[in-house]
Amino acid sequence: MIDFNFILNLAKEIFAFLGGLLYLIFALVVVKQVTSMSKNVHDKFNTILIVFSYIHFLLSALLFLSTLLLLLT
Amino acid sequence: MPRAKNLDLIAPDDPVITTKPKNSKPVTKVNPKPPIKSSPKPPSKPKKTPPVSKSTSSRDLKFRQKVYQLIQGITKSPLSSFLVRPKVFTFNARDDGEEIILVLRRHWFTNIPWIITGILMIFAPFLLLTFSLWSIFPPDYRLILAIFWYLLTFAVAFENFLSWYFNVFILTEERVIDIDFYNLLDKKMSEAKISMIQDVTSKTSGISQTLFNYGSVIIQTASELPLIRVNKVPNPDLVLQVLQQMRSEEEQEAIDGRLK
Repeated sequence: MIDFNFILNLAKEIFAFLGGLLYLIFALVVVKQVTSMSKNVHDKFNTILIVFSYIHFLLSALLFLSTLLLLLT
Repeated sequence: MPRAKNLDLIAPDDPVITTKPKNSKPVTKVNPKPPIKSSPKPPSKPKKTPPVSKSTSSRDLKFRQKVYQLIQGITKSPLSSFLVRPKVFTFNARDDGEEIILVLRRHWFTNIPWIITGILMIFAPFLLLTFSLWSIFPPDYRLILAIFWYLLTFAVAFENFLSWYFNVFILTEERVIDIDFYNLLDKKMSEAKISMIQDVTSKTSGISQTLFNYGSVIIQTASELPLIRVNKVPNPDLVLQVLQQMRSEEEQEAIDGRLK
């Protein structure tokens, strides 16, 4: 007998883990992208944009960690 | 052998040596009238003329002034789509002393769709709350989902802003440069010398472009990249005029170069 509840829970956990991980990678790519763009084009707001990208990455890392904690507990 | 002092005997290319007589007295000039004392005028303020780069000679100044007149009075805000001779802005491949005349980004109106999308994304969780759809998610995951959703909203808005901010078309005194970042990983940089520009076309089509005065500028060049297309830039007709003026300047420079 297949336990659908178990499969559904497992799918949710895998989805949450992979989603968090992929988002973290995406945030890292954004940081690299902003840094690369700022090297090519320098303007007044470059520093602010780089700071924003790092804040975004930090929050993504926190999100991933909290997802991990939630899955483990 | 001393040269003859008779002027009739001097050849045109002979150096003329003039010697002062030994006992000559210095001639003093006597002013018949005393100088009229004029009331001291306050020094007039020098007129503000746009600074010109070191590579621009005075001969080019006349042409350059026409370009400056064309783009005079347009905003210099760093967040503008039409940056005129920006002070802070620069780019990686810029030569020393190369003057940036124009920096173009997409018109602000093109940002409206993603701004609306961002606002809708901000309010989407509240809609779920209103219709009690939030309860379909497991209670442990709700907070994480909310954080994820708002991070995603920020990412969407941020990516679109980056795309607008860093996709620029730059016109310098020597060349045109088009920098395009298509997505996170694709980048394209096209460049053509102004002297290589063969034809410039501006195109405005559609209701929004006509209303808000933005459109495309298509530059045909004789360089390796035959076509540079700049889309949705403000004042395409003005950009066309500036480019034509710059071309005339380059042509004049070439003619002067031949005459030298």
